[in-house]
Amino acid sequence: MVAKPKAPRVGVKAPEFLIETADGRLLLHQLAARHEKLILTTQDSYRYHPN
Amino acid sequence: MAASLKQDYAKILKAGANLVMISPDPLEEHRRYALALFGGELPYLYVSDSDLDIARRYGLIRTKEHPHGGFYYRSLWILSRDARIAYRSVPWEGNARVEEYQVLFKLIDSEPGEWRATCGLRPPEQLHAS
Repeated sequence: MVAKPKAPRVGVKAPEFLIETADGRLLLHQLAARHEKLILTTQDSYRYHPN
Repeated sequence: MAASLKQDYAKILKAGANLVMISPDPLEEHRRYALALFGGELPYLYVSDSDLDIARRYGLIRTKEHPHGGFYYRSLWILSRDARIAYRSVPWEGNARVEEYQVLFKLIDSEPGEWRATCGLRPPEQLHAS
């Protein structure tokens, strides 16, 4: 049996990744600092889930 | 989901927030999808997680394939200015349940969103027929 990977907990720093923005590539924490709140949402490929 | 978020993106910005969509599709595939369904680019930020690195670090890989295919959980995260996680929902059913979708707008102190149960500009049955 494969263990389900654990999602980071509420209250911890979100794992970093790079985001292409109109102002160039920013790290997640740099983009978050520019907004009251930053929303991340994920979905699987449009191939499987077109909505 | 894309149709709802495209429609409500202005409300997200008005609330002082921003939105990043993450999926395993390459950027070009994301652009083709947007062009085919909406006639242009989607307004929110997009990150291609084609190597599933983000999915691994955020605990988003399913241990069992979704009935429609795929192994990537739909999820919602709200971060504060210091990039701390203020809220998480894994899996998130904002595409299927309007009350789940509205959670996003409540958490950013926005007026409610206008959820759409469609794929792009056309109803799903037309999309699959074409």
